[in-house]
Amino acid sequence: MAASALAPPDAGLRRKLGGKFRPPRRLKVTREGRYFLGITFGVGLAAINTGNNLLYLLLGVLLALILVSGIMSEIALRGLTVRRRLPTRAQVGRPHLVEIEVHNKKTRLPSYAIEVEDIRAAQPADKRCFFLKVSPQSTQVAAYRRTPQRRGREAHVAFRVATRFPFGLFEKSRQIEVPGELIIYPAVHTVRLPPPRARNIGVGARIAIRGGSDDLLGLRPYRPGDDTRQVHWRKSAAMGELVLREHAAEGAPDIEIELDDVSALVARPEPDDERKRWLDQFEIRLREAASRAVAHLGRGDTIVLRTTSATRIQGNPRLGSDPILRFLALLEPSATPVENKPKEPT
Amino acid sequence: MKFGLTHRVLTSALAALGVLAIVLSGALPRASTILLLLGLAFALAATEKFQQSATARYAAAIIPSVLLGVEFLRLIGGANLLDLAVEFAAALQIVRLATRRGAMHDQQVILLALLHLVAGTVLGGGIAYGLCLVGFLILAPGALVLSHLRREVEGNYRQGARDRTGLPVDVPRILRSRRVIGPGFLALTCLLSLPIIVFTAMLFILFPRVGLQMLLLQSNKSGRLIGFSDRIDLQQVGKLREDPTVVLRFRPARVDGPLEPKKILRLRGSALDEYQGGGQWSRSTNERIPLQRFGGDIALVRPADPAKDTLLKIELEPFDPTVIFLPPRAVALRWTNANELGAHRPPPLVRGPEATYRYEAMPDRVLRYEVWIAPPSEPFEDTMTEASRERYLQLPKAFPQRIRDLALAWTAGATTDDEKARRIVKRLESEYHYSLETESGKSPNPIDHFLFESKEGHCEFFSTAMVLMLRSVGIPSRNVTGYVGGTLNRFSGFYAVRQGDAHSWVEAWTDRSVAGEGASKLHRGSWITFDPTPAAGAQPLADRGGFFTLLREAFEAISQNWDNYVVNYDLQKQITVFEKLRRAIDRAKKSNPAPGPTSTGISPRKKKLAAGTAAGVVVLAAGYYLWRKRRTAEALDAGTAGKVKQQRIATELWLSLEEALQARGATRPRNVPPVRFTEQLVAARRDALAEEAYVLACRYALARFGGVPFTPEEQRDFARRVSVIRRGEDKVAA
Amino acid sequence: MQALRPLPAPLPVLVRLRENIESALEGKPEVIELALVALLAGGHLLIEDVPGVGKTTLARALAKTLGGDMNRVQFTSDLLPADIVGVSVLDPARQQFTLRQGPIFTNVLLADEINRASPRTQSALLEAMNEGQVSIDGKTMHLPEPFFVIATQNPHDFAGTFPLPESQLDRFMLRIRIGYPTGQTEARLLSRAVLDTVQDVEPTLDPAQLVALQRQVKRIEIEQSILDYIIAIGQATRSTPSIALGLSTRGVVALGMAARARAFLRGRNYVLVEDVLDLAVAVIAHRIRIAAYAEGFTVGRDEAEVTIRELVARIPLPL
Repeated sequence: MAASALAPPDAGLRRKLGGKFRPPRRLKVTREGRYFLGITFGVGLAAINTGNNLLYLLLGVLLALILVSGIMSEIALRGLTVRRRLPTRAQVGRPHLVEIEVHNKKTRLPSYAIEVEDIRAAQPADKRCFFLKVSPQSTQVAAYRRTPQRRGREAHVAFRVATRFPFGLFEKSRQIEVPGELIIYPAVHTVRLPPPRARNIGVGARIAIRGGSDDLLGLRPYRPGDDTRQVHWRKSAAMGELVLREHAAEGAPDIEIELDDVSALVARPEPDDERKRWLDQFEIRLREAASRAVAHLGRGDTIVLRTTSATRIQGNPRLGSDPILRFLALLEPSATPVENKPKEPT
Repeated sequence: MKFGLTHRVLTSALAALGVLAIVLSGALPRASTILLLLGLAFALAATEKFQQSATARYAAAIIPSVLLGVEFLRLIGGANLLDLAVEFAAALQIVRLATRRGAMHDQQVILLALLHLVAGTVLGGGIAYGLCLVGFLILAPGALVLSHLRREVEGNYRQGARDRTGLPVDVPRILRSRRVIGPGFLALTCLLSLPIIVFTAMLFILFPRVGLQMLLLQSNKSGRLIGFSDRIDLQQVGKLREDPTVVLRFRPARVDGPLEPKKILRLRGSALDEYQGGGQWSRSTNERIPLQRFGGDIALVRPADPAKDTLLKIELEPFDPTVIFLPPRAVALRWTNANELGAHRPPPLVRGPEATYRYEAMPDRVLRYEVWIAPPSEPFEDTMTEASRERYLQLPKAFPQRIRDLALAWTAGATTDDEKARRIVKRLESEYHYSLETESGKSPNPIDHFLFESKEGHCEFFSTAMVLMLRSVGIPSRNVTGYVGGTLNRFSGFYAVRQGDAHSWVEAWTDRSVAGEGASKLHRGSWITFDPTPAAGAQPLADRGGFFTLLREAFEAISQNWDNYVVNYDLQKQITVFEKLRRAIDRAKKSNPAPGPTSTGISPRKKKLAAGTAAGVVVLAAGYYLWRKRRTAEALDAGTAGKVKQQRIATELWLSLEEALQARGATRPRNVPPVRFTEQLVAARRDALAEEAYVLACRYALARFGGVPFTPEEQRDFARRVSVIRRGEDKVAA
Repeated sequence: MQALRPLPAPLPVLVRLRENIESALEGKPEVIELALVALLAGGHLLIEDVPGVGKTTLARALAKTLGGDMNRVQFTSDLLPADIVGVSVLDPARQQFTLRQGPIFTNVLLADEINRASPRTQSALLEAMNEGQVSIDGKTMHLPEPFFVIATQNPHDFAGTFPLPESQLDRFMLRIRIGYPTGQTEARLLSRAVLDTVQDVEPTLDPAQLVALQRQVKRIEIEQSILDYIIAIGQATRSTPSIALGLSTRGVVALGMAARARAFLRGRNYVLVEDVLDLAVAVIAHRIRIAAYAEGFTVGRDEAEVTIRELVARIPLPL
């Protein structure tokens, strides 16, 4: 989704990547590689000791294989671009798929056995996708599933592209910086809403509120059970059937939702039991606020969410639940209330 | 090609090569070899179903332990540890090959094959080992890659990774898939063997051979040992004549003119002096005189004189007993690999009884030496004590009188010993018949039977008869065993002497002067060589000729070169290589086409061979290219061929334009189509380049989607304008 | 330098057509192009926008350039089907029923605020659009040719509306948004103080000519790889998990027709990828339903357009 340019949280990472130069490769020896190196070393030693020329031949073959391995793994890693496709939304407790797309720019050579690891800031690197073969000039897509446990801004930093091709003896990897950001909404549960204020029950959930004001909204055919006091007799006579007057709702007030996000406890240094308790409570309250907001919007109400730190956001069914949930996802409790005028967060 | 199937085939091939490398060295006992080969055949034929079954699993668990027990028992029973270890490794590989399941097992198979090749270096590496090694390095990259891929597939996907729709991946389907590896894959991995070969050759040639000799691991016998009986037993019918195993090779060091296809040269091995009757010869004395080296040469009779003496090069295969074969009139000997370092130190020589020369070491490798031969004019003198003389006149107890009578009859009238011997030779040659199957072999008095009844026999009969007859007329003589050979190998320029050329002849002593009296008499004279066998039996085996012989000669030549330049590559040869390289570089720098060292008459042949191979490769390549072209042409339908081709041309023209634009700094984003891209360029840059690109893009679109193909002139024009863009000349052009 | 073939150029009549409408509705060339695409493709147009940006102006300008009849129907909640298609009325004088054709019998019908009418009235119009004919009292009458419906909706209206479901929206070839004019244009409009710009629009075509043009558009062939591209787009909308209801066959055909019309408008007799790309959102966004992310979770109204744009961007272009 939105891939804002994100500075990597670890400045050391940038230094390690060496700036504009070709990103360094990291080499690791696998278990089979250790055996292979051991045998090669043994053969070499034996060759030098005994002077058996056949051992020299064998040594040459083994060393040549190591060389070939290095070159082929380099070729496999070259010419690969990786893109991340984050889902439109993510929510705590709901699994989502992150797609990883690998494109092979090379014209003739495929890349085999590529492993891509998605590196996220402040998270262990545990999400890997494996691509058996990426043909030349083509793209391969794989996905991993993840269930976030915390709301907020999830920063994806880079990819680590590794391959143990061709022989599985060495693992060569390189890091590609591809920043990405995913906002993880708080979890939402169903709430029972209070009945709508002073309303006639409309024709359906999507119909906006018809109220008791004096504004004439329009006419509609009479259906059995309607209030007969609203019948527009003159029009009914003209049309030959009963029609009802419809009144627009009173300037329907917004539903207000309050959230307290200020506490002096926030300023205390960790670890602190009281602080932790307050934070847990805050999360519960935030979740409740989110659930109510979503329920109201689903019903078609407009809402206003206010926090004690003097921020406010309006929710409109036309815009959907996203803006409110995004606001709540990014909301961090503060220690002191903000002094200046209430601002609308973007 | 199916992924799973190809992988299986390659791994099986590697395993087979490993086992063959061990088995073909010939170091293992015959029974083990047969069992291993049978096991290998069974393992290769094992189907996947068998490998998945419970029997296979039990077998994989039980059989190795059983085998280990068996080998341990044999170890206690006194068998060689190295042989047992190698057998066990081979058997283990066979078991693993037959019961493998999954990528881990396949990797174990490859590892075992590698270990087998290591073992093969110790067991003795003939050309067969070389071929196995080459096969290994051609197949190994492919097998390793597939093994790795399979391991990755099984490892990664079994962990529950999901594909893009979130469904788990189907591993068996991948194994059956044909899209993972294409036919190009096999070609590419086989081509990888070329740089591997080049690198290995470079390392082999350049790595300094210092030979620290800290650890020596030798098997106590080489598989290619040739036997030679030190005692002659006429009862045994000589089936040796059929054996084509090459015993030694010789070549004159300097050759003027072409070589004859057959050269009759008697190479003396040893001699026997005591005839025990009933066809049995043996040696009565047992002396041992170590020989000294003088600056590289060992004097057998006298130090070498390069001015007068001719040099003969000899290469002797590992031979038991450890006898050095020498041509007639040999005076001195020089080892070819005369370096002191490493495992190639030449063995010490001793002179045994009857002028037999032996070396004291294990017969484990080919011996290369050069023999100085005295010119024909030089007389060879020797001394003989009276006691020795008696030995050479020894006759068995029950010596038939009629043989003596016959000898007297034949030599009647001859005055000198020389004359007498010649007469006997003449009579035997003309009146007796050479035959490998003779009744006389079964007789309790074979010589008697031979001389009077059957009148036919093989060389040993002739030589024995002559020695007995000479002795019976008072001429000291002895029976000489050796080889008569050889036949020319067109490829290597060496004459090959085979087991079947084993021969016996006679040496008779002629007194020149006698000094002293009685038992202390000292005779001065020389041993003269006589060969009583008729010509049919006194020459090397004639080749049948034809294609089969050619093949055999080529194989032997390759084998010889393999031994010489690979197995016995040493410091001296390295230095020689460097020297040659340096000289070649100097020569190239001076561009002076000086002729190389004298050719031996083989290089035209080698050149022809090289030319033929090169021509063959070119023909193959051309054929492949034509076949590929035909295939792509057939793939296009006759009807739509034109339209599709036109569209493809249009696409390629656009791609060339896109490349040119990229070179000028304008890269098309992936999801912006060509015409729009050029429109954006025009809006952004407003220069001639963008306008030109836009015009070209529109023409491309018309051809690609609008059904108005490029005419050939338009194609050329387009290409020209693209290259103008690429070179950046649009700023200059009108 | 040998010149390649000349670049495509539209027919003069189309250029005039465009210029005419642009003079009435300033500063919105893309919108006008989309409207003309719908017209030439023989489909119908849905304009969804806030009040007062020129929906009616556009419709009237279109009608005027065509030189044909135009009728305008303001959809209210009390509008009945008979108010659209017509009714048979008893003539007391002659004691018989005469058929009175409703406003639908015209060349250009402007159906204003179509989401205010009841579903029954809406379907009356939509059925007629679909079938090209109307039945009143058992008698079937054909609608005139050409027949072009421009319907408008106010997307922000919640009060008293019957929003059209996707299956009905499917019948509109394109959905466009006009949007507010730029500052420059607004300033110009203010300075000119002309309220009715449609007055000066001259008829450019007559209905018969339009029909001929429409037939030409139908004959344009689409090359196989672009057809595959269109089909791929359709299949992508059906298989993407974020779209609950994907593009119907009618939608796919509509995309093809619209692409042809756009190519024709630009003077080409062949369709390019650009044509499909530019029309994808307008043709598809109103026909699909975005999958509900979660129970009760509502999505913004722009969600469909964003989803379509992303989806199309992922499909590889035929080169």
